[in-house]
Amino acid sequence: MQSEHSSTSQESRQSRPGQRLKLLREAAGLSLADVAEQTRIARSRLEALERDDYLAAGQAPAYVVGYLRTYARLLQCPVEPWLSDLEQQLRAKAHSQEQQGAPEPVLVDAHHHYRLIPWVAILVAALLVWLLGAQFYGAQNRMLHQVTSPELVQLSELSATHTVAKDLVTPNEPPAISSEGPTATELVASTPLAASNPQAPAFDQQVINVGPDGTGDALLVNASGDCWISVQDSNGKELIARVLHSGDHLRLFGSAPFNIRLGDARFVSVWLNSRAVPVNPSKDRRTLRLVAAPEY
Amino acid sequence: MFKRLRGMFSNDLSIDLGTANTLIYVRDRGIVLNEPSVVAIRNVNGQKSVEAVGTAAKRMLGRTPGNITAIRPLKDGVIADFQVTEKMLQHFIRKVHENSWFQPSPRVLICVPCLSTEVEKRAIRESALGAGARHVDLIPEPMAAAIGAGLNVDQAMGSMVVDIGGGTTEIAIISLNGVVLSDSVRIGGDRFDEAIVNFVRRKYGSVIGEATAERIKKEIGSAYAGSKVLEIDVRGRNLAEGVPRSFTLNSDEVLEALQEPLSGIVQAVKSALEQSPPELASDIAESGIVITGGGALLRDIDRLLMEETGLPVIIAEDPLTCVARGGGRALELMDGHFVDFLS
Repeated sequence: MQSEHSSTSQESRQSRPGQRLKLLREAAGLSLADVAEQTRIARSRLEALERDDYLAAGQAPAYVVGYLRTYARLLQCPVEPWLSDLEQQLRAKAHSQEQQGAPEPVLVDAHHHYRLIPWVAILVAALLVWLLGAQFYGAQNRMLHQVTSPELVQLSELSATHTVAKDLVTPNEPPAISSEGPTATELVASTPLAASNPQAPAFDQQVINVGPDGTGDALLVNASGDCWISVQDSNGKELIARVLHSGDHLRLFGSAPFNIRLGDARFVSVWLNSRAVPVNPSKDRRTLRLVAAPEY
Repeated sequence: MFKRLRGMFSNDLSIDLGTANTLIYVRDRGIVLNEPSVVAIRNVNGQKSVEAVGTAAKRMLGRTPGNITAIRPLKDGVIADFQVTEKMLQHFIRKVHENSWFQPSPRVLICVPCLSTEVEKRAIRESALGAGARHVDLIPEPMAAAIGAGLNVDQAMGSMVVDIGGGTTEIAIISLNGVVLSDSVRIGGDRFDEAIVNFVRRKYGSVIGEATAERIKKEIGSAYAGSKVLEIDVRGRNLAEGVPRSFTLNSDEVLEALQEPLSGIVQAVKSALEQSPPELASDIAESGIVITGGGALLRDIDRLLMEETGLPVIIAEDPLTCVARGGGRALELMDGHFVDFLS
């Protein structure tokens, strides 16, 4: 019981440093006037300090703490243990005063606004990256299908002579829609490009021959799916640039080495002079450049 | 545009670019950097490169070989070496943003001596911009010190602040968020060290370095006679014999050494009080003078000023960081569009 009582009285004394200072001053036999003379602190302020009336003791918490420190040093009394507690009290009082006086906490708003900006910037950046990515893959897909447009088909036909084994299509009538309209639309209707382009040409399995038969090196390409191909011979002349469809066979004669560009290398197998040319597309990209050169 | 984008990921900084120490305060994080304003430069075939900055460079002061020079780019509170200051600031700003993905581009508030000239201000501003800051504001040091000390600078009431720094002592009377009267004397911690070095040479015929003088000042330095006498063992090179000798200094001797710079500060404070408008003088007589800066840590400096001026003198809490903290607080207040403290 006794220990409890002593601890409570100690706490109350600690929380009221002014009273303790007053006791110490009286024990030292000093009057308030003596303390005011030695510390140069106004007597009214010292009285307020001893009453623990911190609002009257100084115009700002910093002054109150400073006076308390000076007063305690005069009485050779350790002041540090009280100070943290006192500062908290003073801050709480100042805060409550501010809240009563200040119209609105503008600082807090400005602060939140400040922190929000980087996150908004990160979100916008992520959105941009996603859009760019989508654009890039979209462009790749379009490149694959673009060659199917009539102009490019004509171009490839001009650069290469080819014969169609089954269902011959005349060179001057590139889109064979008129004859095989319904089936062709069915075939390509699944692709969004075809849906937007009603004049998409029809295709069937073909054997395409390019170059004078039996001269130079023979390049054989078999397509097991839709794939875009362009081949240049050793002189840099473009021999063919077109789309191959599933089941198409390309036989090409010219001078090796051939520079081959493939739109979707997964569906293509290549032979040069009856020797298989390795086609190894990476997992990330389907397009592939390769050089088919004969072994000497 | 990129600067602004990078700025979004940088913190607003308040920099106390002092002669002795540079402190950086970051909002919400407090004082994040407190290092000596020293840069060590290596010279290899005429090519200069920064060897060390801050604490590491300070250790090299006075101990460098021929190809390394450890220099303090600020003298008397202003920039003495523009390029080196820029490098130092760059290093400190990067150090504060160590975890950042982007190269930092912060908004910076720099505390400058109140009587610095336009040229000096421009030098500080440009070196901060060169160090990567996107926007630079300058604030008078005593104003920042008063805010950092917790004084109510926005009230119609005079407060007097004496900021004793490394190179200068700034004295200002502040009221209603503005500096009413200010003075700056080029006396500070460095002059104290210099005075101790000269005193030891005169009295003991021994040469000591500035670092040793600083240690003496910190350990036994005193500004007022009658306080407890302390002693310290010092080793220095004896001028007559040319060999290192050790001797004992006491705090009364240090006080004797410091008399000249201390009286300079006291004179400046008195002259500021003489010039102050009467209403503000009466406010100051009632509340007292607040001391901030590293000089406030000199034993009994408050007692000296109290006896000389007859006013109550208090030492601010954590006086070394007052200016930087006050600058940070000023940044926050300015963001809230409350006030404009800028010089």
